[in-house]
Amino acid sequence: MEREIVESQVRRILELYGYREIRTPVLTEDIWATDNKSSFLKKEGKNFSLRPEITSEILKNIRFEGIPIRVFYMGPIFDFKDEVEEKFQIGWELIFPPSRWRDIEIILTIKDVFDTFNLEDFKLELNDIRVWNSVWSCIENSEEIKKLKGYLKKRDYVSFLEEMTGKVPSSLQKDIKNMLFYEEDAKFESEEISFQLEELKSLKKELIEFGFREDSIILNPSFFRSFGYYDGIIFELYVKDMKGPLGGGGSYIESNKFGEKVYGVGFAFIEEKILDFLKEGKPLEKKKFFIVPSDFYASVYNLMKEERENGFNSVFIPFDKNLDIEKLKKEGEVIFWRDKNDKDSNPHRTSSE
Amino acid sequence: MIKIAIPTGRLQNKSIEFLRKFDSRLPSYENERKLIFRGERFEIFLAKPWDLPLYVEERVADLGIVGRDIILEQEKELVTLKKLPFGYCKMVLAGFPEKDLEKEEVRIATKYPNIAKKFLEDRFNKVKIFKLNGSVELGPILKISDEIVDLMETGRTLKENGLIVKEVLFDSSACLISNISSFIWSKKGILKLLEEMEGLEC
Repeated sequence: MEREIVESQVRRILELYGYREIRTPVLTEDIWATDNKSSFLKKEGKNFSLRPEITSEILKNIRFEGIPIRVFYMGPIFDFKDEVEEKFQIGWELIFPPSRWRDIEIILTIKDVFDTFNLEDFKLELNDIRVWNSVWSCIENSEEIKKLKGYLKKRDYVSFLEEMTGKVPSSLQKDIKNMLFYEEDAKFESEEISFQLEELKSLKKELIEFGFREDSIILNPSFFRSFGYYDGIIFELYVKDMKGPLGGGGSYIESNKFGEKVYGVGFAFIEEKILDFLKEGKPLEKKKFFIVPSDFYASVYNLMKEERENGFNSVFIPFDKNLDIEKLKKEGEVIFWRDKNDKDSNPHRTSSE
Repeated sequence: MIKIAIPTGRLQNKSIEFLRKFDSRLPSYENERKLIFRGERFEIFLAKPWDLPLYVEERVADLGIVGRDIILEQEKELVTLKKLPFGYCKMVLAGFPEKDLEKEEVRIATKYPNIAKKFLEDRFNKVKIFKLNGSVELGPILKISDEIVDLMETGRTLKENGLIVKEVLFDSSACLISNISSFIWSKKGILKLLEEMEGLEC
């Protein structure tokens, strides 16, 4: 049941932002066929596999024509690394060229979605991969850059610093160390690095103005993600006591099957990761039970309608003295309506917990 | 209180000695059976070196001290923060001097199959790796392998068995590691400790 509730909550929030659900085939052409074991079907020279993720398939088929495209998806993905594992991925994409409002909106949707799960104690690790541009420009060999990025992705700062020795001017070395172990008051010699980090700080400031707690956003220039298509901000969401991130995403640029560039920003998480955290928490749904004598259905209808418009699931339950109220309280707010001392025929709210 | 896992064995005393520079209330390790002890700032617990990264990854400890060889071999989801000034040694490719490395297939005996694969796979047409749990030098002596990949501290064991270093794959030392969650949630405290460690080295 928790799964269905999680999915319906995500749907509700995203639809309010104008996102629409999109479905992609589970069986996909395996463009990674060279280095994984997932292909199990070969036809007409093509390898097919169960999809390892969903975003690529969406980006391949999407065409941007000037108006922002907002899509979300939910479905199984498959991991073939050690043993075959099926997971359920939920994610959303905002297709639009790079812009501050676009990045802010996607982060706000993440906050809104996870606020509804009562996950208040979370941290968003945030970076903009462009902070490294001036460092990479000092290194000619693209294989070396790839290797260095690999160390950042693995958070192996020892190997990174060792590999970096002698590759960049000594003036940059201190900046690099400051980026690995970043504190927001650190000073940087490189103007380009300083500029990018100031941009990142101003994004954080704006997000705080939009309701984020200051300590819930961790700026970390040394944070990298695995996919090569990122071109701007990247982020991962951490929940206290959870091993690894709950989900992540970022700004990307990718080519669609029509040969056009697709710019966007997205976020995805694995549903299974969140379920354990939700079991012990407050009720998942914004649900209100109206326990009312059955004759008064018409009287409370408008109030329930109003609550529905405010995003609450409003449920009518005819009053019965044998109702299991405690069970209902576990699922949402319980509101009783009774006659006023049996004198007034209009029902009124008597308690709300 | 920062929880730190330190390895039993050759790095144990040096790790405690090193951490006492930042927490003078940390007791000197006298009772060898006690696996957990506390100072003012750190709570220390002892773990087998090869198990230690798992304890840190699983957030039993915020930080850990462990050899770089083990970190690179296991590739756990960790943050490798810093090289520490002890436990120096080298990961080497070694063998008998007369053995030719230009063969079609090279057989390697090692305790570190992932490191051997990562560093040597692209060098030879075919690499066959034999995982041994100790006395790796026996590989070439008993003709199980052509070469070995192993950690070398002084080089004495290699020399006594007639083997020579053919290549240093990387320098190893004790390293400070953290789990990703602690690095996110306790970043200030960890960065402060790193800064103090840096200051000590200067």
